[in-house]
Amino acid sequence: MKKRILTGIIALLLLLPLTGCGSKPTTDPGSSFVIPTDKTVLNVASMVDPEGLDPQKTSATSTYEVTTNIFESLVTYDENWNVQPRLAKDWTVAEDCMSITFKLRDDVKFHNGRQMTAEDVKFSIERLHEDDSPKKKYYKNIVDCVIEDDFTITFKTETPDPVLLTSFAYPWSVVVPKECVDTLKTNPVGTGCFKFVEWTPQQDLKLTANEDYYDGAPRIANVHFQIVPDATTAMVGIMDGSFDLVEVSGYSVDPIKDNKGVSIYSKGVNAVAVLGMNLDNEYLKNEKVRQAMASAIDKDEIINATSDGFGDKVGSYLPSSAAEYIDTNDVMPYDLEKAKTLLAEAGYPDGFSIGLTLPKDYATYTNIGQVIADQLEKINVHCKIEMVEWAEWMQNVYTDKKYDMTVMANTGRLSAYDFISRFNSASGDYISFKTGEADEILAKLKTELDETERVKLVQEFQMLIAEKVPVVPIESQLRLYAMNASLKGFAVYPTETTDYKYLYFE
Amino acid sequence: MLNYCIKRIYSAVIVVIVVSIITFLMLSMVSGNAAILALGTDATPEQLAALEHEMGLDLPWYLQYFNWVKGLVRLDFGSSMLYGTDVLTLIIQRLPVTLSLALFSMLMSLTVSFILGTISAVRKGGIVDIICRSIMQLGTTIPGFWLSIIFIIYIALRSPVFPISGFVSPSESFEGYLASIFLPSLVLAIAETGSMLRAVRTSMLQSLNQDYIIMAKVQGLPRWKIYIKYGLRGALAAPLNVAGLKFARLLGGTTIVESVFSLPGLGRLVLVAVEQRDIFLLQGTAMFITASVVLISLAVDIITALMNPRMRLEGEQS
Repeated sequence: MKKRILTGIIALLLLLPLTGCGSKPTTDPGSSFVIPTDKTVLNVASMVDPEGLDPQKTSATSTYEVTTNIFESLVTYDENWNVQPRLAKDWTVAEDCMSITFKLRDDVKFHNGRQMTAEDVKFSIERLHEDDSPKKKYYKNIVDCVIEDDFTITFKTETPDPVLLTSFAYPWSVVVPKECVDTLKTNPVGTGCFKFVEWTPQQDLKLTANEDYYDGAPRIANVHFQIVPDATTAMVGIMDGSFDLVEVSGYSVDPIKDNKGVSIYSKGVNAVAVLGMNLDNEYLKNEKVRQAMASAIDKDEIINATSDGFGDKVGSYLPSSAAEYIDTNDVMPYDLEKAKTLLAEAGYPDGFSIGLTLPKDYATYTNIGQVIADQLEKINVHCKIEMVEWAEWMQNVYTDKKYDMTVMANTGRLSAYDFISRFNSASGDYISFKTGEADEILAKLKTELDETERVKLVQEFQMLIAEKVPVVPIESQLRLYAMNASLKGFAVYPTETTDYKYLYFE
Repeated sequence: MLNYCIKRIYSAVIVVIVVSIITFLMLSMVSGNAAILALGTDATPEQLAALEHEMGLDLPWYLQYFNWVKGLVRLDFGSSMLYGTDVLTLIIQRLPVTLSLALFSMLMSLTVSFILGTISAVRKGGIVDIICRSIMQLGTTIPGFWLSIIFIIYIALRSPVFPISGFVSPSESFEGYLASIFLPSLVLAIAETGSMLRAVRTSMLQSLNQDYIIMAKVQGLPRWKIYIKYGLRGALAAPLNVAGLKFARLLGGTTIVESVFSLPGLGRLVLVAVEQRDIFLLQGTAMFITASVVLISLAVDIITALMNPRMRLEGEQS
């Protein structure tokens, strides 16, 4: 017995040096941090691998983050939502909004040395119509393509599309060389200012500057992406200078924000995190029940608890960064008493139990879901939380709609219509507004060509969602990046990608 | 002996086949598939059906399995749906990492276990014995991910020698390779040492209670000779068996350490294959790991048999 106690004491003693470490400050601000003077290699830490390097055949943001620097689209949106020319130097949209003509640059070469012509643009946009192109439905309206000459091309639509230009600015609407498409997934060949060097999945990916780039070679000579699945490791790496750029979450900013060698960039995400609801569910099809839930959810508490306050609460389904955004937070404010009354009026004074399916790969959404479950408990709505893998979420929630509630954010589009069109009752989407109350606005929006009228319609839509609550909108999150303080020129675009073209070390 | 080996290899082949069928069956039973994941949250149901058909995912699982076996006969393991790269290439890329981790951690763990285990058995109840039992308790209870993070923050961040993440291939720089593999191996070794030490100690205690040890003591042989030559030799079989199985398990079971230290090893490959429903990749890795485990346990059995003639005879009778 005595021996056993002694063993225990020694075990504790052996642990002491480790726990002792815990009481020291966890950061050592910039003591060993040296800013290199002639640095030309950009070290980026990424949590996940790209899912292949063919941006037209995947829906993974991790792929776009890399391929945006290898491939280029005809036009781009800068961080202030202004359209900028890229492969197209000029364009004209027909008055009836049924065609668009692009004048292409004549000095663009693919990384394999061949010149890019209108033929490649036609081929690339048509490639988005294939079945394995995740964005197929957004290109259905483009029905014809006419090559006027080698550097002039016209796309025609079936019905008027007032936001046609945005279709050519996405990370997937890029121009690819026909002769390389079979191997793009592992060996991308584009026109961008960085060329692909090599990729070892789960280890690293290397890009190098394209010396023949039509706009002049970039200032960064080499980009080295390292796949670092663990967030703590990535943070330590940014502190000791192993990495120059990493995306971080709200809570990990705290230990590094005072570090002189590190700067933080934050930008509102072009997305809205929502509590998605299956309107076929017997409780949720009742508008009063949904309003009760919206009133019982304290969004400020969610944002503080899950991302340390980095986020904008929203009352409707449009990101706070969008041009048409209006503040609808007062329509259904946090009010526990009102929530209880509404629930009683709906016929459930004693509450009920309901499923909440959360994607466990996305910590942000599972955290939000857990706080919501806790808050709904106060009006006697008991959430049965089920954590599922992403593949299972995609099957059960997104495809088969076998769910009651979930938490998710769908990333942004460059036009408000594309972003909100999933609420059309016929869209077949997991959060479509099945009662059809949004259909009229969406139908008008689709054909309305006048810009002021369009803005009005989008605002009308936001009011409708805020009042009828087909989903409970929670927040537009803030995207945070930690980077080497000497790295300049960093910006995140509305497409959620960054252009390393403009980066340099000072 | 030869018969015994042939029998074992024969059963190994059957195990691999059964595992590959189970892998296919299991993955076809869980929700979600590679087509759904590839299309993401913007696809229409018709488009999904078309892509599933194109990828052959709409076939019943046994037909999918049959197609895969057809490829295998031509030594084609298929290519990863996620990465687009050949499955065999992906596995071979990972081998140096996983083998180094398994090898180094076993070496560390074996060295420490044999030295401390022997001493603590000889001086049962002594101070070394007490420390050893503390190590056994700690080693098995400290979670690997926590220890890894502690090592990164308090060793890698503060020392210029150890990188905080990533793998350096030995052909690039041998010192760099050792440095990149040392801390993760240490984490694994600490976890393995607890049970390893116990195996050595128990086995040694048993061995020291044998009549021939008492006899040797009575004869007045030098102490070290009794313990090392007679005691330890008799006590080798059980710990080596444990070590072999541990080594085999490490080939597929280092996922957490690989993730924290950002090492591209087999464990993370299996993990991503399951998450992404990448059936060919999962099949390839599962078969590879199963085959290695079976072969290693076969090798361990043969070595033990060679060391102990009695066991060899028993093996032949069974």
